[in-house]
Amino acid sequence: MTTPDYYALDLRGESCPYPVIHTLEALHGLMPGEILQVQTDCPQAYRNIPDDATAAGHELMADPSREGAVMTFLFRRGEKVLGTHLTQDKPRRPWFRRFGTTS
Amino acid sequence: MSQFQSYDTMYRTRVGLAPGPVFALLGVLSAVYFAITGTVWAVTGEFTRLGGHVVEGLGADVHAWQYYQEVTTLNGAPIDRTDGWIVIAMLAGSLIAALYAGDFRLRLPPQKRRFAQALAGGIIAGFGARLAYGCNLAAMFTGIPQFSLHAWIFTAATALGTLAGVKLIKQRWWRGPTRPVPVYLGAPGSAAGNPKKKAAHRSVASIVILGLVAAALAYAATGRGMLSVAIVFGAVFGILIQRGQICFTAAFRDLWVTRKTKLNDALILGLAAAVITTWLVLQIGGMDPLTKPAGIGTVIGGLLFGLGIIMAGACETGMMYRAMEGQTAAVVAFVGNIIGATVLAYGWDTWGIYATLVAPSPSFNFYQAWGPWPALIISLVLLGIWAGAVRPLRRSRQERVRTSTETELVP
Repeated sequence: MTTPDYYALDLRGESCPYPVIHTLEALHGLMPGEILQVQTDCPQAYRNIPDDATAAGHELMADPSREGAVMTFLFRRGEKVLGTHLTQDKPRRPWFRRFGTTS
Repeated sequence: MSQFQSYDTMYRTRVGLAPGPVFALLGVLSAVYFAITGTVWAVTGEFTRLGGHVVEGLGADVHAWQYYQEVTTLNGAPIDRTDGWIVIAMLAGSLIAALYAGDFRLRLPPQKRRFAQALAGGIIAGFGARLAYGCNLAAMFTGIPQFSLHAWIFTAATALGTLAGVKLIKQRWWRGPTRPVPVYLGAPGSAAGNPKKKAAHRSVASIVILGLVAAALAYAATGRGMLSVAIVFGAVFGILIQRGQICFTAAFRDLWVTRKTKLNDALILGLAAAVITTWLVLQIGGMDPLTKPAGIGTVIGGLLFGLGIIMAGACETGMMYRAMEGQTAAVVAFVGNIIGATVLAYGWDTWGIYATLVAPSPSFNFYQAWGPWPALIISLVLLGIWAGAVRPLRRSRQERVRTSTETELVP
């Protein structure tokens, strides 16, 4: 099976804040270096998606393109995801272990 | 590729207006509006009246409800009231802005659960807002500049409520699955926008503008100048909130979801501008600031409001401009707000909400209790504390951006 050229995430119609959450979740699930194309029509996401994806360590590959009210972004998944990922489960520790530990 | 850096990101898309200056402008304008009309920029009071009109149309005698006798009176129709025109003109302004900028598009959520979420969140937010005598406007953005204690309590409670809300919306069962689709064929093409559609949108926008201008002139000519003022200010508010994407929900939510402080900082800036300008208005005009009860009802109202706006995806301002951008889920949230506000109005006397939660609460105003200068200084200090409280988030984000590239950030 050949590897895909890129992955497409169609978020048209999704309202805030889900475009950002889905974008970060999708990028987190890719292998480093893979490309994700995100389409959104939420004006707040025009700002938030590139802001938050680049702050998480991913690379915006080109200026976003816009077609009417739909904006398209191309991201390259970063080597390492920075910051606490949204849906990363924190390691579960039983309550009696939480005290007296340094981490 | 154009790089536009800011203090919390290495890439910022240049769309619309920057939120910081827009928030500051909104702060100043809302103070001027208060100076002219003696009322604050607010919307949920009018939502409650709209709900009251609907219930009245269904046959109930709403004028007998304690809420409509004491809190928001139900005289005439929305177009007879400045509050009514503020809502109408805000919607019109946001619509004009969205149409002109090409941001209008009928958006149906791909996941139908969004409608239920918007309705539930809207009802909770509307209920909570009226319990606290206002939403992010009257109990926060225009409440804090009036030096009323209830607005500070409401803001803190809302922040907590949004924290709880974010925990909820991050759950997979709530937000739904993320499914990127692998693509095997060539590079993505991008067609130009549909020019006919754009022209049609702009025509509609022009008609709406003409309608507003006509109404404003007519009211001014017939001696009802305050309504003209409401139309003009409402329209400007509506345009600004859409172009600036002024969403109070996002200001709090971004802190918890992606640790982004940009909108939060812009909100603080706007509040500072509003506080100073309103203070000047009070000093020069010799007016009394407006105060509302501050007590357990404010806390519960704020918590519910914060939770509800996260569930619904938008607050009273955010929902209004999103509805005018064509986001159908926002329209459902709007309906939910009206329902929630009306339910609160019903329960005010019927369920004893007023008697148990609000009646014992004192009304406290810094300006009237401590004098003008202490009130101003304390308000600005509290805003500074708020800005300082999110500093760890701001710095951790700056640190992440700095380490992800070696590029120097704009301070």
